[in-house]
Amino acid sequence: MSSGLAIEATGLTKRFGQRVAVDALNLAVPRGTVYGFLGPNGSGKTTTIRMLVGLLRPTAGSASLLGHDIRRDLIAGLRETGAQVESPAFVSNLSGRRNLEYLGALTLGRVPAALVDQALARVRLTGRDRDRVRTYSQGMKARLGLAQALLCQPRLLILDEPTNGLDPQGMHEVRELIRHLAAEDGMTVFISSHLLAEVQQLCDRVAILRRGQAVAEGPVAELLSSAGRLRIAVDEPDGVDAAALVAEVDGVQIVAREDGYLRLAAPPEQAAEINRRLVSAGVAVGELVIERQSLEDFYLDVTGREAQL
Amino acid sequence: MITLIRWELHRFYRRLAPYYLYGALALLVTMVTWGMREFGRFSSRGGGAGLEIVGDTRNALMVSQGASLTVAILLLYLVPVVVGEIVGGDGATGVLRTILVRPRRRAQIWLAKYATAWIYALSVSAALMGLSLLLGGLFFGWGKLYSAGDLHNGKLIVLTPREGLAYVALSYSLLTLSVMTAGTIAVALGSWLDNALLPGMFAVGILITLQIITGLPYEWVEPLKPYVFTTYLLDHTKAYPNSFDPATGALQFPAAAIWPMVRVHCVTIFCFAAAGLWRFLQRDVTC
Repeated sequence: MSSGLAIEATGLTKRFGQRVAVDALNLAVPRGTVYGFLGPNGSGKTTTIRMLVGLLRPTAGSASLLGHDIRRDLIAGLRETGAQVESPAFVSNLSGRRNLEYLGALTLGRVPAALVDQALARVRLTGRDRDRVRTYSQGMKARLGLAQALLCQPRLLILDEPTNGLDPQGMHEVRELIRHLAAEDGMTVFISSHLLAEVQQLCDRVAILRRGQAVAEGPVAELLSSAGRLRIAVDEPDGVDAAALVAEVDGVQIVAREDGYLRLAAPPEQAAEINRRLVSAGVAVGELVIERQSLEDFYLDVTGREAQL
Repeated sequence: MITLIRWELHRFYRRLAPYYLYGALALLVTMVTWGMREFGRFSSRGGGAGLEIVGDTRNALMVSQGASLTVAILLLYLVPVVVGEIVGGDGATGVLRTILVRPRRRAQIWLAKYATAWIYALSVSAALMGLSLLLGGLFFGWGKLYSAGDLHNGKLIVLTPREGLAYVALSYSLLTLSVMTAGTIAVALGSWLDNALLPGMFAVGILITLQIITGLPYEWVEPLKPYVFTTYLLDHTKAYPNSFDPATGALQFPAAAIWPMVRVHCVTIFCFAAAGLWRFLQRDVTC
């Protein structure tokens, strides 16, 4: 396992009976990055996270946290990792502060009060820290979930839907906090989220899961630019098929043809070649627009536009 | 490990259920003591020897002995329900997944929870013994402990207060062992059932079922009885000396009466604890 990676998974597989939840997944999360982990419901995101932090045993394959193999040396990996898996769950009849002290004690034996104060302050829970968790709103529990993950100053943060239950201000604060943790503290942050706009703003790299397999992986900017769309207004002379001409260009797919427009899925760097072929065949190109995809468009393209369970 | 146990105890005693049982014990011991006060002195006639005990045998030790006979059933059925939540409750609320992503071995976490169950069972037995001694002492004073075990030979066994206290303590220790056999089943089932109540309920169900089976008047049941822990559930009452050494005339320690109980309970506890721990180590946490 390479120590340059915060998370590495090779052929990671989890089966529940006959159902394959995660299918030979490969992951390589570089240290110091904010990494988005996307996919529809049931695609295997949470199962993958549960395997990484030792809640589930992989059926096959291997994985490491900060260079520590999760089968042989999980405890060492978890010592440097803060994790929040699914919705935050705490001891409801203890206060937020006592919960942090308890969870800190599981990591450090005894957690210094300064660390608890710092974690509470980071998520703006200082004023309610002595109230019982059962009186907390969903958003406050989400903040406490983040606080417990940050408590022991981890080098790797694994967050499963960290902004679930937060109001817009809360979401903004969490985004800023994650940016700060990555930029200032050099922390690696691995986030699973359904909020694609959020992931696009926040993450350096993403992996997209579909039916337990990664269908796309790489830097966000690269993925989006590699899958740009072109809209071309064409006026074809008789006997010339503009669509057939552009279809011959490498990496080009015709998406639609409507009202004198061609819509293509094509790498943006092929725009000049497409234009050259059309013009040399006598097609008048009235307009050629490179439409940058949003992460949402890209996500829907690779995972399918219909919900799958 | 001490830190983990301390935190488990802190969490456990933040719940109301443990206190309900202490409250119920206090009420019952008060009723037992009050009953002994109201319904007078013992005056019983012995067996074939025609020995008659006339006099007031009531004192702190007798009240404590009486409490262990009458209230034991309550402990056997309620302690499993209370301690069953220690593991199963964490699964039900999702707290288990928050705990298990911390850098601690699962075995340590489970053993800390199991130790908490033991400490609670011990505390309940100690509370029952302490309270009955206290109330008995307040109402009737301190005195000797009488054991009628050898009456058929025409002998009443009288223990000095110091001896009596030691045997009462032994009896309560054995009661704790019985209680924790049932408690261990509940804690172990918590490794399978992510539910606060079901592990305790199932443990009580197992207890009742085995009691019924071993109580059936069939021949095939007889060979099973020595190996089933429910046969010995109330054998803490046999912790008192019931005979004299024919050679020396000294009181005989009732080893033969309590050893089978200790052996079967210890084996049962070990088997269920090992099964619960194994399951906790192996299980996928999907809650």
